[in-house]
Amino acid sequence: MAKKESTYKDSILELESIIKDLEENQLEIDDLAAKAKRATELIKFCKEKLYGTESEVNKILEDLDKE
Amino acid sequence: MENESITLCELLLTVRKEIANTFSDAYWIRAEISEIRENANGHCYLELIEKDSSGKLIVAKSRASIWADTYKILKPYFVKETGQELKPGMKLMVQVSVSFHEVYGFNCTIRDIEPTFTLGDLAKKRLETIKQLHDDGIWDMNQSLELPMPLNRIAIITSSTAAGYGDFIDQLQNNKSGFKFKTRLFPAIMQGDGAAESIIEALDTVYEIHEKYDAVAIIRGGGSTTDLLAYDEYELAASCAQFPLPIITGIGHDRDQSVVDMVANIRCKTPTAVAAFIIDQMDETANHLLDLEETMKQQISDNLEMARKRLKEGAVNFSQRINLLLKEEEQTIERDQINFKHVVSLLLMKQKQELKDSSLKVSQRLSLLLKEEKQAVERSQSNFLHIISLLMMKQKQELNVKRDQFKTAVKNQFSEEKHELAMHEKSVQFLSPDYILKKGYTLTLKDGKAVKSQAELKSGDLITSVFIDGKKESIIK
Repeated sequence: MAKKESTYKDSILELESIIKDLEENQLEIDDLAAKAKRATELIKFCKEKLYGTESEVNKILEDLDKE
Repeated sequence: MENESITLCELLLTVRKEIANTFSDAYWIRAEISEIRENANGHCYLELIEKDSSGKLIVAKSRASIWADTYKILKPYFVKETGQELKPGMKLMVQVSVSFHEVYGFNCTIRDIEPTFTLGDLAKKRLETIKQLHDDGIWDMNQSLELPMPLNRIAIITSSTAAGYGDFIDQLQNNKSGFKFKTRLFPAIMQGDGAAESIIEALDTVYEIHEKYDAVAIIRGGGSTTDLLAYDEYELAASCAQFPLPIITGIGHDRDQSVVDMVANIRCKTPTAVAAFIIDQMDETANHLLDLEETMKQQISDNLEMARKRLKEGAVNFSQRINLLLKEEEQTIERDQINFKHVVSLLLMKQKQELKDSSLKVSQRLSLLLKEEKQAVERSQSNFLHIISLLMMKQKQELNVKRDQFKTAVKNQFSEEKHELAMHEKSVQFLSPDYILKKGYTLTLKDGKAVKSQAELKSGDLITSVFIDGKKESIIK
């Protein structure tokens, strides 16, 4: 439980910190692009956790790895 | 003897009569049920006991019965009032009449029951359980756990046969938001005897793999709301309180909350409410995420806008600033040029003067140096001549000495040689053949050669003897 929870929680915390950076308008244009990319990844990851759209596929991949 | 005795029956009949006379009233008594059973005729047979204050020693015990026509009224009344079935361990206040039967013995016939007494006793026990949980320091352990985000892996403890379980799963899986749930059933007996032990066992099973779950739902779908005493039992409440995952209850009773409800992280009335709560949590989590996403998008576009604006302002500022800088630079250069010219002419003048000064100094110094040098050369010349003449004189003297030494040496050598020569002359005289022949010796020759041994000669050989004054030939005999 701890593992999954912290992963989702960590993602949310990172997302919030990115938003904080954005709100402070402290970012260079290059950073902005990188942060936007990272935030998108995090959101995708979190949605995945909630809606499990890709979880089936991932599970199959995990099973393949085990073999 | 026979006339003096009575039969057992006669005795017991007397006791029966005596008891019926003495205990004709009905009495309200307090006692605990130690055994209870109903028979097919609808009669209820019990064993009532009383224990001492330690609760261990039985100080009174009696059979009791509730006849069918009374029981069918008392039973539903008691259940309605207490939410409990009559069962062993329960304390009762009942109105009894006593009787004695020569075959069945002493019996209390229950005529009425006072449910509030039982309720009071249960409440007292419940309070004791709550106090014990507090004293053990575990009361709010489960309550203080934070609900994980997301809350979508649920271990479900319920009866596998309950219809409520299917409804619960349907409700979760068909949620409007499309959340994915992972659930697993851990079956248990949810009410009546053995319920507490069974639920504890299910909790133990979940505990083994609790990392795989976010929360435990303890639900009881439908069925009668009686016999839920298990949820007030210390062992079950303690297990729930100390469980490492948040516990969500949906036990479904309309009385007061059970102790398990009180120690649980989240309490709901019914399984439906539990499912709704979980979905709500997920909605909240998802909304939070959505908010973050929106804020992020807005912030990124704001940031981009800001950057664009800054760039534009920057460009304008830049050209203005550049013009200003160029102008300043021009002025500076002009100023510098003037300064430079002035400084250069000054420097040139100074340089010229210095050059003049130093050339004068150089010529003065040069002539001085030349003079000194000349004097030095002259001095060395005279020194040299002096030394040479000295050296030559010394050489001459040495030569003279050597010459004298040589003369003396030559003279000495000559006289030595002369002497030696005279000595040699004498030696030669002694050794010459003439000197020897003179002394009377002869020399014998054969064929002109000296004969040195008689063996060289044989008879008839002609030999020549040489004397100092001539030769004579002779023949060997």
